[in-house]
Order: sequence, then structure tokens, then C-alpha cells
Amino acid sequence: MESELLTIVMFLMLGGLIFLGVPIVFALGTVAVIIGYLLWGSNSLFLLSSHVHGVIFNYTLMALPFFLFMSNVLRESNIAEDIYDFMYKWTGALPGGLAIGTVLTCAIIAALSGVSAVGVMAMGTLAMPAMIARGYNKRISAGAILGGGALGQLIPPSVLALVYSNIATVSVGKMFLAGVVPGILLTGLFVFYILIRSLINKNLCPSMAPEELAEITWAIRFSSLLKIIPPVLIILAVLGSLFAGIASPTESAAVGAAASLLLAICYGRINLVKLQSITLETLKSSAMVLWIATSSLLFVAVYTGLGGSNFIKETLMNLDVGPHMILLVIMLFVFLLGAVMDPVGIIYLLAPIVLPIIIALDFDPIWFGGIFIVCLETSYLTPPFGYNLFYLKAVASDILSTKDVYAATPPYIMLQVLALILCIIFPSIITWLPNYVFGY
Amino acid sequence: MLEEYCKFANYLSLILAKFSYVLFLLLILNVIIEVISRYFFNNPTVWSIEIAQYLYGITFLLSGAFTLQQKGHVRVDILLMAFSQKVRRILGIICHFVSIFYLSVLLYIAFIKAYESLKYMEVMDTVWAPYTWPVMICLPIAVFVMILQAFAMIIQTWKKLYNDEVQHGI
Repeated sequence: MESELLTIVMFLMLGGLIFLGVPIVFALGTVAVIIGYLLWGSNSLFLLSSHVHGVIFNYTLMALPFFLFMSNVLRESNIAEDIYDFMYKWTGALPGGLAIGTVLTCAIIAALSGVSAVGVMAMGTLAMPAMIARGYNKRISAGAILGGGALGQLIPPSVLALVYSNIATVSVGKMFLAGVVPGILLTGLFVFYILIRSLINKNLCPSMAPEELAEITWAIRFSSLLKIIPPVLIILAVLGSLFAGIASPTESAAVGAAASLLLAICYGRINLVKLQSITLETLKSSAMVLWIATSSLLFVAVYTGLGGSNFIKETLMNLDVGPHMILLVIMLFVFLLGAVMDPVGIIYLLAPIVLPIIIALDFDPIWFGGIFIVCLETSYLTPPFGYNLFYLKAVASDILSTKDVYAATPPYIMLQVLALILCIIFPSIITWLPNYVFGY
Repeated sequence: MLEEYCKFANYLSLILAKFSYVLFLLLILNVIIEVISRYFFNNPTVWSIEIAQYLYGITFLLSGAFTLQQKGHVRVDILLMAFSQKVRRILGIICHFVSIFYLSVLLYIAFIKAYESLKYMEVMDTVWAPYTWPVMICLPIAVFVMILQAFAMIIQTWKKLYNDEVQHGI
């Protein structure tokens, strides 16, 4: 079959099944199995088992359930509450202080968890009602939670970075570090945006009343600081052991999982019933990701084997434009796909296809991974399929309508795109830290 | 009869998930023991990684059916909201049949692979070289239960469709 036709048939079938409502994992698998069988015969089906086994016997991917478990424990044991409490006591005096505190809390939670759900759900429950009660603008406050929550996938540990490094066979440690500076940059952009908007229009996010502010003494502020020391120690234990080279990513994730469980037990915020529901929740989301991994790897294997990846590579390389233009085309594609698909699925689907192009264009795979993940940040916010929209709607449905949630996204998506552009223009935003820590 | 079947399938998925729950906690424990014995006692174990792979592989496979039951396998259903509930339910049934198609192919392959791993007594490519079959036989089992679960979900959806029609007097 011609490569053009193959590409059209496979992706149309995939899109058709996905829009019909077939779970992405089975849509990918079904297309791969049918096309593989028709064009290669029954032996192609054995690719299936090799990819399932590739995921089972993959020691690095084992870090994924550990990171998810850690995130779920932190969510269930209300550690986010302590962090938020600390943040708003320190930032409350600023115009838009609660929203700024929300973004900063999300950034700290992001360093504790590898997913966006923890930040969004915790802040949607805690910060959203608090901001509404003080008369904050709904869009700015909801956006702070949506944008801040997505930082979970950028600031290490990050599930997306883990998955990408696994496909690109680059160091997980380097990929994690690659997300740090862009994470801080994006946090800064959000904070700056909220601050500017609240300064321009004083009614948008009214500052705390003086009498309320007077109640927060420095003693209270410092005692709230003490409460966040244990979670900060966990961050240091997980990331420190990884970057110091003491533990493999899988091991440091397991240390984080055990440490957060221990902390929750010490706080008396966990019991057997909760532990079971947390673990089942973890198994559910990791099974989801890992089963998608198996079938998207199969899909890509069939597509590549039939010459599809080469076709894309040749088409893009033959375009009469510079390497950065090709990169922008890829990023545009990631952005658009992000509106309708699951980010992990996008990495599994696109990374194997575009990585040969990136290497042929002489780009650094670490840098590319960094901008790939920054670009995928938008996929958490872009409707119709954006995880953070669902999470926020799920926890704050009594104060926010679906329309409120969707209307909150545009400025924050634009800030994410701005961060992406900055990372493309100044590659050292991404590459400086990993190169500094690990050497060239 | 159908109702009992659905109950049975749901129960089976949950049992496998609870079994995975125990294995998962053991998995964390196993990795922690390895870290401690290596860094604090300078005594790395030869079996830790393989045991971890056993536990992780089995955990991930056996929780697949539970994920299906909890509708945890992510799907893009927001575009279907434009249709009536009846149409959505019919589409849901079709989607389950597509899933069953893929799972049946997987079951066939997994069965052959598990059989081979037992027949030739395959071992892992490591120093300790344990047999691969404990994980390999979990794949057909997991996929089989996923198929049972998918059929149970079809029956449940079909029942809802039927009840709707009775209520509306059609």
C-alpha cells in the first residue's frame, strides 16, 4: 500500500474509533491488529505479545505506579491543605494573593507528584471556594488552578518525562531536570499575569481586608512554614537520591511512595480503608497508562514497519523550510492532537515517529523532550479533551459551570504557548540544568 | 441468569484488583528492601529486580479488568454528548464489541505465548534467570477476565436501554 494511503487509512480509522467512543487503548490496538493482519498476515499478530511483554518487563516504567501512588497518598492525606495554608498566609497580602498562592502551591505539589490531578483537585476543593468567597474573578481563579495544576507534568517528578525518556532512551534524571527551569518560568508567567491583572483592575481580585491581614502575624506565618517541612523533605529525598545517582528512578519513586505513606501514617490521616481505595485508584490509573503504552507501541510498530514513519520523515524533510519550521509544524500537530487525545498516548504515538526526524535535524533529544512536554501542558487545558477541565469540573461543580471552566483557559493557554516559544528560542532554558548537573 | 453472570464478572475483576493491591504493596516493600540492603548494608540482592518485575507485571495485568469495570480506560466521549442517551448507549455497546475484538486477538496470542513459555521453560535474561511463566500465564488470564467484564458491561448497557424503552412505553 502507498504510504500516503496507509497514513490516511490508519489515522482515519483511529480517529473514527476514538470519536465513536472506543477507549483509546482498544482503538489503537484494533487498527494495528487489522492493518497488520491484512498487510503482513497472521505473523504480525505476534508483535502484539512482544509489545505487551516489553511493557511488563520494563524496569523504568515501574516508577510510574510508584509516582502515582505517592501522588494519591498526598492527595488523600490532605498535605496539599498544609501547603496551601502556608502559601496563602505568605502571599495573601498581595493583590490577587490567593490566586498567586494557588499557583505557587500547585508548583510545590508538582514537585511532589507526577500528575496534574493532585494540584487541580486539591486546589479546586480548597482554593476555589476561598477565592470565590473573597470576590475573586471566576475566570482568573479557575485559570490559576487549571494552569497551575498542569505544572505537575513539567516540574519533576513527571509521568510524561518518565514516559518520554523511556521511548527516547535518554536519562530519566536529565529529562526530570529539563522540566525544572521551564516549570519555574511558567509559574513565574502565571504569577506575573495574575499580579498585573489584579493591579490594573482592583476589583478583579480584591486584596485581603486590613483587619483580616492583621490577624496573620509573623508567628502564625512561621508556624505554617514548619508544617510544610515534611513534604519538602520528601521532595528532597526523591529528587535528591535520583540526581545524586544514589538510586535509580524506579527506586527513588519507591522511596517517595514509602515516605509519603509513612508521613500520612504519622499524621494519622490514613487507615486501611483509605489505603485500599488509594491503591486501587493507583492501579486503575497506572493500568490505563500501561495498557495504552502497549497498544500505541503496537500501532506505531505496524505503522513504521509499513513505511509510514519514513514517509512522514521524508515529507517533512523535503519541505523547503528550515529545521525550526519543521519543529514548529510538529509542535502545532502536538498542540492540536492535545485537544482531542490523552497526553501519554500522544507521547507514545508521536515520539517514535518524530524522534528520527529530530535526530536527523541535529536537535538535542533532551531539549526536544522538554519542548514536547511544555507543549503538552496545553493539552490539559484545551477543550474538548483536557484532563484539568474534567478534574476541576468534578470537584467544583457547585460553584463553576462548564462554561466558566472553559472560558477560564484562553489566557493561560496563551501563557503556556509563550513559554513554549521562549523554550524554542532559548534552548538553554531546558538544557542548562541537566547539562550543569550531569555534565555534557 | 444474565444478572448472575454480570455479578460474577464484576466480582472477578474486583478480586483480581484486590489481589493486585496486595502485590503492589509487596512491590514497594521489595524495592525498599533492595535500596536499604544495597546502600546501608552494601549487600545488593540478586533477585530483587526480577521479583519486582514479577510483581509489577502481574499487578499491571490483573488490574486491567478492574480498570475496564471502573471505566478507567480513557475515552473521548465529550463529542457524543450531542446525541441522545439512547444513541450513546447503542454506541457504547458497539464500542465494547470493538474492545472485545481486540482483546480476543490478544487472548489468542497471549495463550500461545504462555503455552510456549511453559513448554520450553523460558527463563529471564538475567543472572538469577527465573522462569518467565508466572507472568506469562497472567496475560491470558487477565485478558480473559477483561473480555468477561466487557460482556458484562454490554449486558448492563443493553438492560438500561431496554428499561428506558419500557418506561417510555415504546
